[in-house]
Amino acid sequence: MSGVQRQDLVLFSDQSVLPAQFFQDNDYHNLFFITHQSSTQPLWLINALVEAHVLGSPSSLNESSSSPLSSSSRSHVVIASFIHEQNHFIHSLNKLKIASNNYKVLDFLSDFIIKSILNKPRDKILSDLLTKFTAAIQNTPANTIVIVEQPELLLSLINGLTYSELNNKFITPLLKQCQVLIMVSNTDIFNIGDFDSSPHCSNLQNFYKSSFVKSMINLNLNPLKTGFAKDVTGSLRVCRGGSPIASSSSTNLHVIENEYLHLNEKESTKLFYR
Amino acid sequence: MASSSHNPSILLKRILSLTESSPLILCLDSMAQTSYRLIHEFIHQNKSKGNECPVIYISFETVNMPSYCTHFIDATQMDFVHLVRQITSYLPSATATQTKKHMVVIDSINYISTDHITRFLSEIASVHCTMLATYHKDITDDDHVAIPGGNSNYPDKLALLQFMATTILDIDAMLVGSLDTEEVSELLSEFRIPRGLNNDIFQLRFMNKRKSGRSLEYDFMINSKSHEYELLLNNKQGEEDGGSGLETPEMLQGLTTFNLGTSNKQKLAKDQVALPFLEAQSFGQGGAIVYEYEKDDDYDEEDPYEDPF
Repeated sequence: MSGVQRQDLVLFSDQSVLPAQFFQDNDYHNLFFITHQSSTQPLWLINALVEAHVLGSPSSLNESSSSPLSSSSRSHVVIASFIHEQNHFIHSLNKLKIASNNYKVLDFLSDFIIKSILNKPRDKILSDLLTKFTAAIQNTPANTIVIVEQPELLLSLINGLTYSELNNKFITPLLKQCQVLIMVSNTDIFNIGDFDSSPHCSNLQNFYKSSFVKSMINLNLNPLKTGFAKDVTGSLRVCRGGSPIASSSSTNLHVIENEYLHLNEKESTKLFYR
Repeated sequence: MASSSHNPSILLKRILSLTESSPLILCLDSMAQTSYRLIHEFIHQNKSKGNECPVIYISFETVNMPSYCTHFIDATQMDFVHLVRQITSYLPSATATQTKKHMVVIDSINYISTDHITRFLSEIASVHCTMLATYHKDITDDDHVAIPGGNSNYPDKLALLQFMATTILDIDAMLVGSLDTEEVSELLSEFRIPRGLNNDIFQLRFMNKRKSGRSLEYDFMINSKSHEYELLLNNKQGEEDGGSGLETPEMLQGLTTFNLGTSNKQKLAKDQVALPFLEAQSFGQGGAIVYEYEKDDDYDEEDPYEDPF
């Protein structure tokens, strides 16, 4: 890949990753849906989106990044994960020199089952979760984006929870609380042979499909079909989701559908056109 | 057989503008092509006809209130009884006369459980209301097993909806580039979403059930940007037309040096030719054989065996 030109990550027709017009009106809410597999972890992409929002551009990924925003005009991010503990994000964001007062990490992994799930009714669990998000969003200034990693695990953790309940009582209300919600999900279940067709499995699949329908952009991280390559970690496919872009201005903003190859190295990630 | 008295494009436009009565319109969509562009076509056709009707939007999935809706109901936190009560409060009473037609958009009906679905639709249905319900085909109907009484012979949600709907709009993506249908469905089954889906141009299989019980089925290519609808001739329709539906003059060109095609004028003349068997059927009862003698015939009137009859 040494001879191939490195590319910048661009998601929308205004050449941006997170357009400013998403944050012009509180009444509009947009869902980003990042799907990945276990072999293509999305941390670098989450970091790039956090950078794009806090610093103004994903400087760790894009070469032609503009100068970072002044600390007073920086926005905030709430990151919540059901699969990684707090330090996972704090370490990587520290490396990118993002100040700790620009983000808040909600840890729904450590002691989560004992503290929040055991012996509680489904509705209570979901409403308590939502309250934690509400508190985190309200304690930060406006224009906060929320990143939630693997909320689908709740379907496995909470007995009898269906995809429609999870959507109606957690994901949709959460989306209404912020202008941009970034949902990160692991879609390994679609690749489990032919086929675990248990109700739980179809419940999970229904959740992914309904999330895709609600999202306006899908970022799809996949390993190469040919397996492993030394100079390519996987592919990132950017495509339209099932919903239109919601914004107050009438400019013709649209998703730029594209496919990148990405190479994750120890300290950096590079993108190339496929 | 496709009706010759209906122009498919006009029928589709009449359905989209709610001019043609169709109480339940079912939009079957999928991840490859969701229904919001088609719902916009309904709104566009309504506006262009100048009969903008009130739109009641029942949302389970849509978070952003569409600009065209008159009432937006967030159904995510509502129980069934409350939801129905709220919808009916926005609708004119069934006995009212001369009220405007109302459109009820349901996004999406997957979220209403199978055991409630018939009650839900029948409580909203009235002569003044057209229901436009989106159903995601690729989301499975999990609550099917939970029907009271556990009757496994009870139809699933999609079968029920297809039975009740008076118009079914089955949406599919118009594939571009090297992708084919099989490849796309394989990619979607692995959740590797390909590019080029959810486009402004898409395919629509349009099925309209007539009052007589007959159903008309057409394939369209919809351009939601230019609002143009192009009828696609498919094999099924050709077969229904007696196989001749597919024959176009272009197919006969270059086969011989003769002109094998028929012009419209020739086709018309051909249709008007009275075929002999039709004339034969207009004879009265019985029959008669009339023999006219020619001058060389040798006929002896006294010989009884000479009479040819």
